[in-house]
Amino acid sequence: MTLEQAPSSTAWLDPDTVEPILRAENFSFTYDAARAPVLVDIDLSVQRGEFLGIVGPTGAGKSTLLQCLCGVIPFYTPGTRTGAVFIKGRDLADYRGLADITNTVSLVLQDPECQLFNLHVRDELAWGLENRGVAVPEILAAMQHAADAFGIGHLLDRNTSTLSGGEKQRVVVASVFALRPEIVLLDEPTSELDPVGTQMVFEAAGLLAAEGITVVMVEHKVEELVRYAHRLAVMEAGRITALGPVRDVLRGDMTARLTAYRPHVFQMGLDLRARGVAVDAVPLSIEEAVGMYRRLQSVAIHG
Amino acid sequence: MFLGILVLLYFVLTTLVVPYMAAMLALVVLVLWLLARIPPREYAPVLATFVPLIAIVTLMQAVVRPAAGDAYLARIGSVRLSSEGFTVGLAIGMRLMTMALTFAAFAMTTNPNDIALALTKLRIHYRYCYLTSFALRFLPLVQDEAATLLTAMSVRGSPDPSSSNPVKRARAVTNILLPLIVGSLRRSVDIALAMELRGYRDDRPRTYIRRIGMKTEDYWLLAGITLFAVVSFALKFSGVLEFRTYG
Repeated sequence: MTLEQAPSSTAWLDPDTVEPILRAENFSFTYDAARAPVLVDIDLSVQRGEFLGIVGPTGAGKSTLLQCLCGVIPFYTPGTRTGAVFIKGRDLADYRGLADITNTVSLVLQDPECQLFNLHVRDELAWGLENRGVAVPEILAAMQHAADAFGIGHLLDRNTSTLSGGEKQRVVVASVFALRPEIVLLDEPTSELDPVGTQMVFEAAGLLAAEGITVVMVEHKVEELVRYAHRLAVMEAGRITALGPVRDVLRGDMTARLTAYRPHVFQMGLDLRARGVAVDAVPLSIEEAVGMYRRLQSVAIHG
Repeated sequence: MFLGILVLLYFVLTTLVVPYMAAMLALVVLVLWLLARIPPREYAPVLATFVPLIAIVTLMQAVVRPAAGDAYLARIGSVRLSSEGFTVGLAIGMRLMTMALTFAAFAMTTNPNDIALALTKLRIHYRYCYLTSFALRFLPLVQDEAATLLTAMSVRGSPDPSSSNPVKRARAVTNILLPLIVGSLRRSVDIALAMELRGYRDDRPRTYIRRIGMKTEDYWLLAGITLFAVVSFALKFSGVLEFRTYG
């Protein structure tokens, strides 16, 4: 699902109308061994069904934020927290442990090798559901649905160690999807992948969103991210410095470090506009840029 | 399979009769070929690596074992080669090869998940049963990491791991041990987290989509094991086959 295919109802864009599925309220976090906080005064609301992209330089606290949103911090990694994180309106502190939270929120890590625990893809798809004690017919149905949705039916009997990087990460995302979480957080899932693998993973993330799952994705590959994200959050030095619809954020004031995150076609559109060219909508993708060029060409020809 | 391995190991470890060892080796090859449809050419390169070891063991036994009646096969200076030693050495070498092939056959023909399932049926906790398939899943990863470390170190002047000098090779391997162990421990933390995120827990029952049961090949194997055990015991107690572990 791309931005052009965003749901017609924009109720999720208005945090006042609907209870956010994920919310951080004045949240700060410091690791036990650290002298300075990694997250500072984070206020963030994510609506159900939304695709939120998070970008920012290395060390901005993006991964830490994801870990705080899914309970890894504090249930797995200790530290000092202030403020609160709410999952479906329930304070994270009220959960008994990580196992309770994983029914609702899943986290996909950077390294696919650490997230494949079985020799064969088929066993991998079933593994999480087996852990939960789900009945066998339901497991088989969920496996089939996940394999069909992510187009990995031809990989089911393959040995996981023989898959390409993109295929591995796609299988991971499909395995997570089989658990039917309501929220999936992805922490730079394409960082170790080539362009083909990257595209596979972004398509998989788009499929999650198309299935109504709330997606929060940390990525450096903004050119791809903006094709799918509804909103973008920019983080720097532990704070969220910008948050809003993708175009608004990219158009807004950015530090010199962060302008590098603008997609090239978007920057080109801004530069053309700054030079007096009548650009109606600054393009986010090559396709939009082609449309913009054709419109300009039409204006130039017909006046 | 477990039963077959146990029976085979019992007889392999308690005899040094060369024709019997050769027959057992041939039996394992035949079972792999007929029941598991794995022809010898698939694992011949692995077996070939045992040939130098067998040669060394045979030579050592021929040198150190005295010949009955001072009848030696050959004399090279003060070194004497006895035929008894040659025979015992060959039997020991074939014992090693048979054991290696048997364990390899087990690994080649058994899905680790089935091993885990079989162990759960013995009421062993899943956390231990899963270790087998888990280890096999991550073994290629450790191998890849070791290869990467060896390459990275060799381009920075560390001893070449592909050197023909065994001392240099040993040093190259030793140099990567610490980073390999540290890297594996770090990765294990991420793996543990990822497992918990996928719902892995010790304290609640889990389901299994796989079902294991006896197939036709398993019944043939069981019959073969029984026949083998009966024949071997008959040979033993009739005195036709001398059973000794060593000496």
